[in-house]
This record gives sequence, C-alpha cells and structure tokens, in this order.
Amino acid sequence: MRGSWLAVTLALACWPSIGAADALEWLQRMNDAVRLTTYQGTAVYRNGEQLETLRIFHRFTQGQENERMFSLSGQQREVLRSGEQVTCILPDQKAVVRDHEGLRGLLPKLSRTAFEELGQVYELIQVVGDARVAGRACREVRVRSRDIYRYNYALCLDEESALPLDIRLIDDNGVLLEQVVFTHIEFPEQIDDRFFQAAIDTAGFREVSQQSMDTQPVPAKDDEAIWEVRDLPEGFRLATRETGQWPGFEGPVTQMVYSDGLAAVSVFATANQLPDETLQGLTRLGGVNAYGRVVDDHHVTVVGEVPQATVRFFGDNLRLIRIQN
Amino acid sequence: MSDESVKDQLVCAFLDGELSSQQIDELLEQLECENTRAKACRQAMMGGVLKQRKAVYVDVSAAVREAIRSEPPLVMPLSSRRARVVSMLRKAPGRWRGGAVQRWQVPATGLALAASAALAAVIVIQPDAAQTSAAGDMVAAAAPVASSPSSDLTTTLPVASQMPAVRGSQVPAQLVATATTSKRSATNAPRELVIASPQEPRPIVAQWSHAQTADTTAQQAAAQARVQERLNTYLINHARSGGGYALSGSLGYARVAARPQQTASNE
Repeated sequence: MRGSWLAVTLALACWPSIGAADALEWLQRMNDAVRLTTYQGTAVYRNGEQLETLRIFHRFTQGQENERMFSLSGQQREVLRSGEQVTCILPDQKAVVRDHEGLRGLLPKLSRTAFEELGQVYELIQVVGDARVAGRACREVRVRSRDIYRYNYALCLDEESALPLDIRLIDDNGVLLEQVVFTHIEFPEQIDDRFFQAAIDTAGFREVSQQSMDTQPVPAKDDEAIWEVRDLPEGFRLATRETGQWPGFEGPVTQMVYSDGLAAVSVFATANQLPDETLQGLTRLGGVNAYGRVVDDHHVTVVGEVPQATVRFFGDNLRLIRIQN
Repeated sequence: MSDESVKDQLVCAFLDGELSSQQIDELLEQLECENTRAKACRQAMMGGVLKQRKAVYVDVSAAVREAIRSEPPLVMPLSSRRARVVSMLRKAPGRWRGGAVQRWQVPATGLALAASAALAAVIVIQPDAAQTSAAGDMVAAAAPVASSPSSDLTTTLPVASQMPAVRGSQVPAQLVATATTSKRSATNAPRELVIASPQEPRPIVAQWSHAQTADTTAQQAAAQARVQERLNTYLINHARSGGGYALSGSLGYARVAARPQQTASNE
C-alpha cells in the first residue's frame, strides 16, 4: 500500500512536466517549420496592457522566405520580408524603412549552438495535456531557466505543423512580459504573390535605410584595451564586439553582445561621459533591465531583456584588460 | 469606461509623459474651450470626441494649465516641461496635488508600453537633410544633438534619441528637423527619445523607471533626461544587435509591426 502511494506521489511530482527530449525535438521541428511552412493568419501581440492585432502571410518558395505582416488595429503599419531584406512601411511617418539586420521574422529561429547548449541553462519541458490555440491542438513546451539569470519562455506548437501558435516571455515570478498568439491560422498549399505586396500606397514616402546608421569603426591600435566579463553566467558567450564612434557620444563606444542562445545582453562602454549624465545603478523599462557604473574611468551600461540580477552581474564583473596586438 | 476614469488616465498619462505633443496641444485647446464655458464650444468638442476616440478632455488643475500655457513656444524639451508641471502641482490645490506627485515618484506600469515605443524606434525616421541644414543652427542651442551622414534619396538614421521633443502643431516642418548637428551645445538642455517626422510630428517618450523622482531641480531634470537618452540609444542598438541572437527577437519583430499606443490606458 505504502509503495503504491509513493508511486502515485512521484507521478504527481513529475506531472505535468515531463519529456525534455521530446521538447527538444519539438523545438527542432519548430525551427524548420517557421521557415518552411506556408501559412496565413491573425495574431495578437501583447505587451503589458498594449494589445495589437496583426495579419500575417508567410510562404517558402524557390528557396526563399516571404513574409508580410500588417496591423489591423491602431495606426496602419506594414512589415514585408523577402529573404533577409526587411521593409517597414510607416504611413504615419510617410516613410519606407529598409533594414537587413536585427529583424529576423515574426516566429523564432534558434541557432545550432542554441540547440546544443540549451539544456545546460534551460530546462526543457513538454507539458502533458491538451492545449488549444486558434482552434488547433498544440503541444506546450516550456523553456524554464535553471538559474536567476534569464527569463522563461512558454511556447505552444501546432500539433501538425509545429509552428508556434503562442509565444510567451515570462519572468521568474511568473509574470507575463510579452506574448504573440495566433487567433486564427490557415495552411494553404500556396499563397498568391499579391498577398506579399504592400497594400499601402507609398507614393511620396521617403526611402530610409538603417544600414550603417550608427557607428564609424575605430581602427585597431597596437596596444588595445578590451573589456571582459569575469565568470560569465553559464551559457552566455560573447557573440559580437564592436567599437565605433557614435553620434552624440564624446569618445568611442564599445558594444559587446552576449547570448545564451535565447536571451541576449549588451554591454556598452564609453569614456568621457559626465558622471551626472550617466546611469548609476539599476533601472528598468518593461522587461528590459539596465545597470550602469564606472569602471576604470569608463562608464559601462548593461542592457538586456533579462532579469535585474543578470545585468547587475555583468556590470559588476566587467574589467578592462590590456593586450598587445 | 467612465468619463472620470478617462480623465484620470489622461492626467496620469500627461504626468508620465505619455501624451504626445500633439495630444498636449489638443489638451490645451480643450482647456481653452473649458474656460469659455460656452455651450457651442462644448458641443463642438463632444462631436470631436465622438469622431475621434482618442481625443482628450481632461479636468486638470489650474496649475497644470498655467504650466502648459506659460511654456515657451516652439522647441521645448518635454522633461523640463514635466518637471515644472510637477513643481506647480505640489503647490496646487485640488485632487491632483497628492496623486500627481506620488505618481511621479513611482515607476508607472506603463513601462512596458514605453519599452515597446522605444524598441519600435528602431525604425524611427531622421528628418530630411535639407530641412536639417536650414534649421540646425537655430535649434542647436535648444537641443544639442549629433549628426549622421545622409543623402537626398536615402537617409541614414541616427538613433531615435537624437531627436528633440517638439510641440508638433506649433512647430513648422523645418524646425522639427532639429535632430542633426555634429557638435554638442554648451547648454545641457534635456533630450528624450522621440519618434517624430517633419510631416507629422508624433513624439513618444520612453521613460525609464529610475528617473522618476519628484524633487529635482531643472538642472537635475536635464541630467536625468540625458541619462534617459543614452539608455534609449543603448536599448535601440541592443534591439538591433541582440535581437538576432534571442528568442525574444521575434517579439521585437512584432513590436515593430504593432503600433505603440500614444495614450496611456494603463493603471
């Protein structure tokens, strides 16, 4: 009797979160699905109390992705993506903005590295049970941080296609920070070209490019000082490091991006800033946290969609080391 | 939603800096209208409210009214404006006295909204180069900012925070093009993240939590505004550089398509 009671208890303790391997498999399926699936639908984007309704068309033909997304509520706004080229049409600003980088599509694509290392820092959980989004059965996968240094994600993946029908960013207190959820979705065999053309007349709009908008690279010196974060939280790795002359800044600004595959943290370091014009300590803006302090006569600011503990850790563990080129 | 609730939200939105300059102008117009107590005026205004859901009709204190009215015309940094309004509110009688100052001290729950606005500024627009050169010297003293190269057909964008806050309806197109000058001015005029264009100025201010204090002098407010501006610059560059590595990058994509709200509906 006692044995069976223990078995039930253990089962309850495990329920409903089991199947990390299955969860990983589902995430891998999702990765292919978001690129290769042809679909059209309506989604709601939620950020705090802001709700916006979006219409989305996506297809994969002849080796290239096409995506079109436009707002159904509020101001008109349209985003077109053809391969790597992203175009944003902003009627309220009478502008067409083109950008090659930064915006990688509505649905998430994870890097190979992310898959290899996810399990180290995140707990992958496939929730057992029936879930439905947009009238379709879906598999709920949770990506739960194993430590205090990152947020959690909850995804509901379409049972048939593995497309994420619901994406949620959740903090360590369980508070929902942001969400994209489909309210309706269809999977036609093909979608006509006309659905990937902007409906907004852009005659007279300004053409704006965001490429190379910000920095002028600073040439390398023989004796260079580089920033380093000691004892990085597990899983985080340096993804990019750039130093440039930014408009509005007295000296060069160095930006380093660290990522664990899912979350990203930027570290900015610059000299010659007046103390009262720089952030000292912690601040937040929605799910984004920032931390600033002075290190070796430089002001450093850490920014990321990560918990407060993470930006603080990065900031407190920064050091400037000199290397000979 | 009751009229009182709408009023409360709009006053709070004003105090949080979440009303655009255009909306502040509308507010001013309606206050003027309210002063006249003319039936025709009120009827006309109510017609406008019915047609335009976001129209503002707010019963703010005389101090607020005076603070707005007494501000210099044309380019005026919003943060300084708000600091003065808060200062006036402390002295003002009426129901907003305590609440307004308290709200100024605590982080608003509208921060998520502001974050969205800030990130959507990844696609903010730089004023035309021609307009900039015409107005640059004139505005430099009021809003020191930095330049970036540009051409006639394709404009290279600076970060959004380099655009000064302006009173939309009062500022001619040339004057809105204040955002580019390569040197910093000797003044420390506060600047804030603004999404605006010469054709239709539409500023949105991203307010970080740490700077919302009540007891600030004008100089401190200016410094705080510069802190915020730098944070917004960092935030935008983080969104552009870090989005590709993060799962949350997809949310950033949605932020772009989703138009940031311009009236506060939170709290």
